[in-house]
Parts: sequence; C-alpha cells; structure tokens
Amino acid sequence: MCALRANGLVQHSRVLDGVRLLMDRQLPHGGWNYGNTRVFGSELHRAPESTGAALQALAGLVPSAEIRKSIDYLKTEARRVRTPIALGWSLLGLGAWGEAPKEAPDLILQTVERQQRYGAYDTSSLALVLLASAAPNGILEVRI
Amino acid sequence: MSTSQDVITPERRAWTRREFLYALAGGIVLASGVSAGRWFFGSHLRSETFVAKMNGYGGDLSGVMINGFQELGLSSSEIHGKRILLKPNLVETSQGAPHINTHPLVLRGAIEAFLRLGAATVMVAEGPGHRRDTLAVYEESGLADVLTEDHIQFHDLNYITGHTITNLGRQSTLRTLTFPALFLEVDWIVSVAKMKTHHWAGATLSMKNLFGVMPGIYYGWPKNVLHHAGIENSILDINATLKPHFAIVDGIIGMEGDGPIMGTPKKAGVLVMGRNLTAVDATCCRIMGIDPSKVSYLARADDWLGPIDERSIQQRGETIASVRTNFSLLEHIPAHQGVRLA
Repeated sequence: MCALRANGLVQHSRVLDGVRLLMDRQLPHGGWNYGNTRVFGSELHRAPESTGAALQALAGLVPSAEIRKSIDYLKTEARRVRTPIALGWSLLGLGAWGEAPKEAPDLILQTVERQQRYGAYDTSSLALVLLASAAPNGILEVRI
Repeated sequence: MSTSQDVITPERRAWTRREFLYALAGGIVLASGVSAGRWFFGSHLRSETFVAKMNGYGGDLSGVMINGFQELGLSSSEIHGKRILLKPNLVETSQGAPHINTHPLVLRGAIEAFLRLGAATVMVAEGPGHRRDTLAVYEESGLADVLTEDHIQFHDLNYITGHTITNLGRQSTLRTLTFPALFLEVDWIVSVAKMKTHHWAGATLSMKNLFGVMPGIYYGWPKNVLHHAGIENSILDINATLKPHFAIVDGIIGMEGDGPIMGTPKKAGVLVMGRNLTAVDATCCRIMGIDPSKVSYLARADDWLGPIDERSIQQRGETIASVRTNFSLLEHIPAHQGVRLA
C-alpha cells in the first residue's frame, strides 16, 4: 500500500482492498497482530510492529476515530519497546498520524545503544529504526 | 543433520533375515491394498522417555537433565564434539503470561547439560510464529539476558537463508520444505518445547514446536503456508523430514485451556525427555490427562515416526501415574472434544 501510495496510486484497487482488509483485521481493543482477531471467542494479542505498519499504511485513508484505540495502544507501546523493528514501525505508524512521541529521538538512541549488550542488529532492522529517525511524519513524508 | 546431501535420508540399520522375510510378506500385503508400512514397521518401534519431577525453575535443572540423559543411554561419547541446536518454543510475549514460552532457565539447564557432556557448541534458534520482531520476543521472554550472560549464540530463524529439500513426510501437498541453511552446520537438533494444550492440534509439545524452525520469510506469519497445507500434515512432514534428535518438554508450568497463547498456567511440575519425539509427546499427553491416540497427528505418527502405545514406551524416572495432572480442556474447541484419557 505504501509503495503504491508513494507513486501516486492512492485510488488503486489494491490500496482500497488493503484498507478494507486492515480495517477488518483491527483488534476490537485496538492494534493489529499477524492478521487474526478472535479464535474460539478469545481476542488475540496485538503487536506493536504490526500495529505500526498498519497505521502507516492507513494514514489519511480512514477517519482517525476508527483507529483511535490503536493509536492510544501504540503510544504506550512506543515508550516501552526497545527493539528496532517494534520501535521503528511504532514510530513510523504514529508519525504518519502526527502522533509521534516527543522523546522519539531518545527512544531510538536507547534502542541503538542496546547493541552493546545484545550484539549488532542486522542491517534491515538497523535501517528501519534509522528510517524512523529520518521520517518523523511517516514513510510517505520522507524527502530524499 | 547431514551436510553432504540435499535430501536427509532415514538412518536404517542392515536388515535381518527375519525382517527381509517380513518385508517380502509386507510387499504381498501391500499388493492387496493394506498399509504395509504400518503393518511391517509398527511392531519394531520402541522408545524410552524420562520424566523428572521439578517443583519450580530454581532447582538443578542441568543436573536433572544429565540424570535423564544417563537413564536414556545418552553418553558423553555420543555428544562429545557435537554442535547442538536447541529450538525453544517462543511464540509471542504478553505481560503476565510467561507460560506461553519455554522458560529461559530450562534452556540454560539444557545448555549446561550438553556442554558438560562435551558438546563442541550449543546454540539456540527460533522463528516465532506470531511476531515479526523476533528480537522483541527474545528479550521480553527473558531469554536474551540468560543467553547473553552465558555467551550463547541465538539465531533468528524467521529471517534466515533457506535450504530446500524434498518433503519426506508426503502428508501435505508440499513437495519440498525449506529449512534454515544453518541446520547444515549442526549435528543435533533438540526440540525444547512447552507443555500446552492447543486449540487446533489438541496439544502442542515437541513435534508441533518444530513449526518454529520454518523461516517466516518463506512461510509467513503465523507460518501461513503450513496452516494452509494443514497443521497436522505439516507437523508430520516437518518431523519426518528433519528427523530431530532429542526432545525436552518444559512441563514445570505449562498451559491449559485455550492454548497455545490464551490459556492459563498449569503447574504440572515435570520435565519430560527422550530421543523419540512422538514417544515423548505421547507421554506428555498422558501426564496432561489426554489420550494420545485421540490427538490426530500423534495417532498418524504412531508406528511411523514413533510409538504412542504405552506398552511400547519404556518409562524412566517418575511413573506417569505419579505425575498425572489433568489439563483443562474446553468443550467448545473441537480439538479438545473426546480426548480426555480415561
């Protein structure tokens, strides 16, 4: 969805399909996971990286009230998580809705510094968190 | 795991004259339309499992495991110089729900035990089924702190180069399976699973745990390709093709009810070990109060990948009766219906 939108294809049928799919899979209490909402009556757990990616893809395409719970969840998670994929997508998703936390640069720095304890991140994970640093308003607002 | 062949071939000792005659007879039976494999191989499958009582995670886990190794005939001469890969069950994390995942101290115990037996290296590897961020699960589960302190390497199996081989199980329509190429560099694969009920499969133990070795970048999240191919088919295919070497199941605190994620903690107070994963899982089921012959993938594995008949599994350590504690099953979940052990 982001690739199509970045190339001016916001009305492409696949983008519209994507919006419908993502809104269908949003968890009742907010947030997204790998794509299931309920199994045998139990609402499943959400994940920050999935929520951030979904919010980034949906930015500006649905009324904010419809994703408010997800934003609120992610604002809490963004202050808690310290791994590059979870934090990177959290900040991109929040940024795309103008809700990135003010302390985002510190969160990114703390996350990068954790390599000293746990070892070097792989290139794609490091690139994601650095992209979040360079894109405070989300991927679609990046100007290179 | 073999490093010289693309296809892992089953280990097979030379046939005896009696087996040859059985095979000949089996061929005749096959021609008449009866399953010769089950008829022929069934009577030969025997295994041993070891059950230890563990009141909590603070005890001497490595000592208990070494005792289990000895009971199972696993000697230092067999382990010396081997590269051991431990595959825990790390699916996702949730605050207040550590019972979703294999406890980190069980892994520490297994690492120490294999190193004390002379393993050249021990590593831990997992590709969580529900999270794109493996590192988050690794850290939030507490495993990162343990392995960092112990200087043990962790491998993320979701984002890893694959190695494609023929599907030897042939239960699903998947003609090939793509495992991590890392497996070509190890000698032993050990499933270090969690004792849990499962809302699709009935129970998730050492065999089902191996879903997590299948890389997410090939199979998706939550391993969608395998779900589409059929969970039971895929469990059998993975195990038949990979041929894991050993299983350790963390049943100290397991999960009952709506497992593998949304269930509640269940203290079973056991560690279960063995060389044959099917036998280990059958024993675990009995401890959980589940009839393994009613768990479909175990029934299908019986007499093929291993025995599930109690008479074919020699029990070491504690008896099943002394540790059995029924895990709660939910009536509205089809995989839980009618599986309670009498």
